[in-house]
Amino acid sequence: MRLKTKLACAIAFTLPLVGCFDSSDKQAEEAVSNANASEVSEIRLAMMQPPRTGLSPLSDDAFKLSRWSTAETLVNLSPDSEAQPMLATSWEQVEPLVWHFTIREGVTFHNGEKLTAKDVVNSLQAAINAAPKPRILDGIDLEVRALGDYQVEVKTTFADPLLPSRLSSPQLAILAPSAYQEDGRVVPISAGTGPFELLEINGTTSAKLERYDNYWGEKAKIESVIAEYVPDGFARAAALKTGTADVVEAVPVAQIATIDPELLTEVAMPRTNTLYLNSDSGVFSDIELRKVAAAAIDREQIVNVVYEGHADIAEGLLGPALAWAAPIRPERPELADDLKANGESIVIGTFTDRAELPEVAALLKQQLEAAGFAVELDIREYAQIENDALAGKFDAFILSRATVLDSGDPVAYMVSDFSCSGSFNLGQFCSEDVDQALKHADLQPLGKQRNQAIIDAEQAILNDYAAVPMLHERVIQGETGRVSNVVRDPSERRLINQFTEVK
Amino acid sequence: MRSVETLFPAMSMLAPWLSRVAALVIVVIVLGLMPDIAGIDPSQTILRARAGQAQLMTPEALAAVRADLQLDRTATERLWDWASNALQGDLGRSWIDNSPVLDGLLQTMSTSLLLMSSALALTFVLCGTAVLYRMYFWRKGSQSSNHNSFSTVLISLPEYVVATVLILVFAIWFGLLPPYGWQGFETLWLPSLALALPASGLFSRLLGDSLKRVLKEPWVITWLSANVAPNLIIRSALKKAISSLIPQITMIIIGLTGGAVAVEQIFSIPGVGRLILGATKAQDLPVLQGGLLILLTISIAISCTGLFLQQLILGKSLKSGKLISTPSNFRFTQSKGKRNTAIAILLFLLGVVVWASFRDPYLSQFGRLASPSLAAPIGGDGLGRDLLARLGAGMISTFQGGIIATALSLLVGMFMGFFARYTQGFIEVTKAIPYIIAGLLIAGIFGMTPYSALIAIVLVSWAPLAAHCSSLIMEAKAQPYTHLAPVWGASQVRILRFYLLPYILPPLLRHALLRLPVTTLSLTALSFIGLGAKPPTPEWGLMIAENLPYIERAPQGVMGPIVGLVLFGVAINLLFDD
Repeated sequence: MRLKTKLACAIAFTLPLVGCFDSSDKQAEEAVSNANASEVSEIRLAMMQPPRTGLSPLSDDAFKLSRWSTAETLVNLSPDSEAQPMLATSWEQVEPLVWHFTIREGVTFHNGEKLTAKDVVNSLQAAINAAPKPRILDGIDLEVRALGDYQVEVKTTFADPLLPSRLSSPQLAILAPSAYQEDGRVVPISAGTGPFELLEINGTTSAKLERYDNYWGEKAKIESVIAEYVPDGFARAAALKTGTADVVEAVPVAQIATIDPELLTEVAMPRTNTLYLNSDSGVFSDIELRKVAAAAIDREQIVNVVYEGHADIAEGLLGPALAWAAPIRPERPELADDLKANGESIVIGTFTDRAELPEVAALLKQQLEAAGFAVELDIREYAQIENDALAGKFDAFILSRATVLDSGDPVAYMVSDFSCSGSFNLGQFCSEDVDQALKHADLQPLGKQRNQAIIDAEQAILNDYAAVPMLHERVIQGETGRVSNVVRDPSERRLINQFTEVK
Repeated sequence: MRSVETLFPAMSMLAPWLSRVAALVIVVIVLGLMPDIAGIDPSQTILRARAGQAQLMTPEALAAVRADLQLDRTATERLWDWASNALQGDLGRSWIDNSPVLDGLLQTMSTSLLLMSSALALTFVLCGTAVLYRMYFWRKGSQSSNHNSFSTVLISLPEYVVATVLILVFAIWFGLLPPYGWQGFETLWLPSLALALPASGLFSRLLGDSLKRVLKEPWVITWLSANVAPNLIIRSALKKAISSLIPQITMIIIGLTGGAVAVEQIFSIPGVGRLILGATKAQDLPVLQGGLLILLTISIAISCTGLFLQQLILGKSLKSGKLISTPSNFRFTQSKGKRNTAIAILLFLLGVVVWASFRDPYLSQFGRLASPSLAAPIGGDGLGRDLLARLGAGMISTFQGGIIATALSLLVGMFMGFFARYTQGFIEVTKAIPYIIAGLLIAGIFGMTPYSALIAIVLVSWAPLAAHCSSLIMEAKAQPYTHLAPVWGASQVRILRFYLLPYILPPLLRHALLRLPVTTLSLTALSFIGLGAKPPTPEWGLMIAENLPYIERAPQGVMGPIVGLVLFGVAINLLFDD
């Protein structure tokens, strides 16, 4: 009897197994053939975030497409945030509000079709019509039309010095018409123009790319790229240690000490860990108490303990990733050492999605309590806390904030975080002087003048103690010894390109 | 109850099915109304999900999303549209990426089912070994309780800890298996094992408990004295022990299907749990509704198969009142050795609390991940806080929360178990909802109240107890003396008090105690969403989560709370052992 039931169980449970293995058998075969291919030249990537919207360039996933060098934009942004030709060979501001872009000839999409001005207009128009619009186009209205086979006209509503830089946003990638499906989805399979062709999208597991032999520029050195998504930091670190992946995105700080330092690279990132103080209501509406808090924070302790030294102490809102900022920044006035609070109780909010933030919060609590505050922490998942944070329900909020958006320019970030009408103004901060300074900065042409105006605005914000910048994070990227020429991009736009090699 | 059944005989047949349909409908409606109940505009969360954190939440962008998703419809209109399409087999399109919901679900579902089957197969292998071991000792005439403690250890380990330890051992140290992925057989082992270890601990404990009870039944002595071969006795005993456990087994299987969220996350497996978790966070209602609908339907199917098997095995003896078994009892152990060990363990735990009360659990006084020393007997955590102090300071409140949650689950479970015919659907449905998702849903509906975590955990942990209770009642009612009780005029209340309760309470209490460690941990594990305990309180679940990334460098941070839980579990078990 027992045998019978066992048999029955065995059959009952192997049946679905057999059914499912069909598909994974194929995968297994693929894995085997992949293993063979690795002798040729293949790179395996362990990416952090799985795609949100099936790799549509209109969402955040656009950054994956550009990191894999499969989708390209009209303009490329150099490491110094300068606009360089990519799919557009040149551009000209013919009138204050009208720009002409000349499209590169001889470019083909991965499906073999030729790139023309019509395709450019089609892709840009899809981005303009998207809900939501790519963040680089926030509050900006563009009109795009083709002037011939290889010329595109872009009209803006104000004299925008940043337009070419804006067009470098990976979210404004140019894809073949075949990518834009009738139901509104964008599926970039074989639709890019880059050195690698996207062949397979396996949902939130992996994607597969191969070298595109008709690429307009220098052909890629490696033959294929397998990108896997590994959201768990511990597993990503394990991938690097075991060699399961050749290139690993975002190695968590907690794992660094267990990894061979040879395998790790660090680049300063335009990201600032900032304590936003609520200047509208509660304890910190008093600027004197904001000063007490600013003086109480021991940045060095946070960097050494939580980040184990893998971060930079913040002097201003803009960190070392913007190399021009530090030299022109004036010396900040020293705050008196003996500033103390009188037991005022405050609530600090932060979130668990970035693993280091809860630890930063715990340390801050100790530091602020030593300065005489009574501190309570409220730590949730980002999605659960964003509304309360925006509504100003906390006295202070710790946020790890990207300081340049896709244009490489920090003004948009400052406007959204520190202007009266800012849409991400966690500190409910509003000052006419700061608004004026930001408005002035936004109208300056790129270059020295603009940089100076930006630093002036930054100083205006810091003088009001609307926020206390604590530290700047670094991109910590893992690379095994097998690969070379992997791009170490602080803005996290590129990772693998045509020059990447396998030894 | 009785009169209703005699009036409408069909009613008693239909009741479980009605309750199933009702449960499904309620879940779907509550999900559909969630944004309205919670007052959170889904266009915000959808915007975040589509475009990421860096997207600015301007009114313009929000309006675009709202128009795109036709969110201006009222909740009723939305539900109605959804339901009428769903009835035609169209579960709609995801609000995030506009892909058909059904396609994504079928794909992730097959992954989840494969993972579940292989985890289940491993569970059976592990349990089979445990049973053989136990039988070996029974034949020699002694009862071993050694492996009781071992299974307590397994039960007390949360899956995310097991998963991390497995990666550490098999992928990093031995380099035998890949640390993550979903390609081919070699990636199947670690996640299956991570799921199977806690499940087999629970299963083998329940089986052992049930087997022990069966082997004490009068027929065993009769058969033994009649010189029936021990193998035959063992087989019959096993059959009977398993048959009363079938509802429990189905609960474990259901738990493996949707409850694998943490394991799927760590090993980056594209399963249905992860899909639903993402949809819950983003308030992607079409995916959430469709996903839970399918998950719950599968859960109901598994449970129905189980019930059918049980009928098949127990057969007529259930209805005709010929099931003879002795009730087990629940009292303090008679063995001095066990009592002393239990008391020693509890005293030790108490000692830790007292010792820790002289220390500061909040201050960063040592180096990061300081190793154990005289000043810090078990070292420091990531911020250099004293681990011993945190362990002791968190113990009482952690246990307190766990015990309250377990007691509430037991009460709710017993009540629902008594009316299993009408609550069957709810038992199957609530068990299928992973606790993380229950936590997010409760947070959405009730907000971040201090009791949200408790509500969420009780909501998902009463079901196994209810299922157990109902199968025990079925057994108890099938005993000849219960069957005959009305004949000699025993009242309903009397039957309940003297016939049913003594039969069902002891095994049910044991079962609840078994679940105590897991319930305790999941309660505090919800704090990462923002429910329950708030950092930096030294709650144990929180401590495990905080120290898990450092498990390779300072394992004591994770081991401390787990050893504490295991010790507590062992002590309680010893105390109530035979």
